[in-house]
Amino acid sequence: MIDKWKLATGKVICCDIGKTGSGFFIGDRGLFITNNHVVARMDIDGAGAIRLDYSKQIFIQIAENTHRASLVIDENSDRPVVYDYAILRLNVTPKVYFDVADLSEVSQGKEVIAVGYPLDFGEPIISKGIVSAIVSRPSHINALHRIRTFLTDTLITYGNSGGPLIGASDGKVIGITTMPHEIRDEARERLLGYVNLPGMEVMRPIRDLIEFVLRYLTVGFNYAISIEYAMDDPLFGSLEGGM
Amino acid sequence: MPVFMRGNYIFVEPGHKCFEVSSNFTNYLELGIQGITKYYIEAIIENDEFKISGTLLDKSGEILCRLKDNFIEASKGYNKEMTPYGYRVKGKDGNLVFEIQVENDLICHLKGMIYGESGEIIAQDREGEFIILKGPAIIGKSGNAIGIKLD
Repeated sequence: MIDKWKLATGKVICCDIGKTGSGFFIGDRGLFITNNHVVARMDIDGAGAIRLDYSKQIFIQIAENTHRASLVIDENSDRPVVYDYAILRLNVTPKVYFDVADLSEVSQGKEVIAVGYPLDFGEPIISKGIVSAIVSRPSHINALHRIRTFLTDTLITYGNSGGPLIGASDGKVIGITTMPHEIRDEARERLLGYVNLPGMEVMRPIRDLIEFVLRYLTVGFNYAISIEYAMDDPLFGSLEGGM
Repeated sequence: MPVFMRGNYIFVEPGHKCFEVSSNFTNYLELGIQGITKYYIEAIIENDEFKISGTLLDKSGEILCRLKDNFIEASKGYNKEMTPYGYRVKGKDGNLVFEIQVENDLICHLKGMIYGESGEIIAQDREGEFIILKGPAIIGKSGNAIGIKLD
C-alpha cells in the first residue's frame, strides 16, 4: 500500500518561479492536484491588491521520472486562488492514483497519513497522525471566504504543500496538506516587529536568525484544505476508477 | 426630532441618527429585489461566512459587476482586484467604484455607491457608515422574521 501511495505522489518543481512542493494523482486521466501557492508566485502590490504569476515551467518528479505538467484551472478564476488548489495535467497515464474519500464520513480522531516531499528530501516522506479537528477558517489568501480544513497533528512542513492527506485505513484522499498552524502571540509579534526595525538591514545575521526561527517554530498542528474544493472545480470533470 | 412614530410606523428624519441596530441583528441585508429591480444585493451569513450575491449597476444604469457567493465578475470596462480581505472593482481611471472588505472575520464592509437603474443612489458608504437612501430593502431577516423592511 505504501509503495503505491509513494508512486501516486510527486514532487512539484516550478523552474521559472523557483518554487517546489508536493502533489498527487487523482483518477486515471493524468490529473494531478497540488496547492495553488506551489505553482504561482503571489505578491501584494503597493495598493494592497494580490498579483499572481503562474509558473509556465512546471515539472513533476515521481520516482526516477520527471514529467512536464500544464495547468488545467482557469488562470483568471479567483476560486483556485481563494481555496488554494491547482489542477495539473500530465501527459502520462498514472499506474496508481488516489481515490477521494466520502468526506461526510470523516470525523475528528480519524487516523490519517500525509505523503509528500518536505524540506530537501528527494523521496516521498510519510507521517502519521489524526484529524485533530475539522474547522471552518478564513482563507489564508482572502479572508472574506472561509475554507473547510482538517487540522492534524501529522508532521507537515515546508515542501509538503500540495501533498495528499489520506485515510490511514483506506488510503483515500480527504485533503491537500497546505500549511502549519503558526503561533500567533505577543512574543511572535514582537519578533516580527524587530525584523522590520530601521537599521535591521545592516544586522542581517540577526534578522535572518529571527526569520528562520519564526519559520520553523510551530506547535505541530497543521492544516489540510478539504479536497472538495478541487473536486468541485468546473473544469475538473468526472472522476473514475481508483487505487 | 429625528424620529417619530404614528400608528405602527416609524418615521425617520433624513440626515439624523435615530437608532442603532445591534450587530447580531444586522446579519442580513437585501437591497432591491432579485428579478424585479435591475440591481440587487443580498448579504447573508451562512455557517459563519459572509456570503454576498447580486448585480450592481454603475452611474449610467449599466451592469457594473455580478456577485455570486462573494466571487465577483466585473463587466467590461471595469477591473476587479482581489485583496487579502475581499475584492475591489475599479474604473478604467483606477478609481475605486465598489469594495467588499472583511475586518477581523467579524464585520463585512461594503464601500462605494450602489446605483439604481436611473443612476439614483440607492446606498452609499460615508465616513465608515453604510447609508441606505432608497428601498426596497430588508435588514436583519432571520427565519420567519422579516426584519426591518424599507419600502
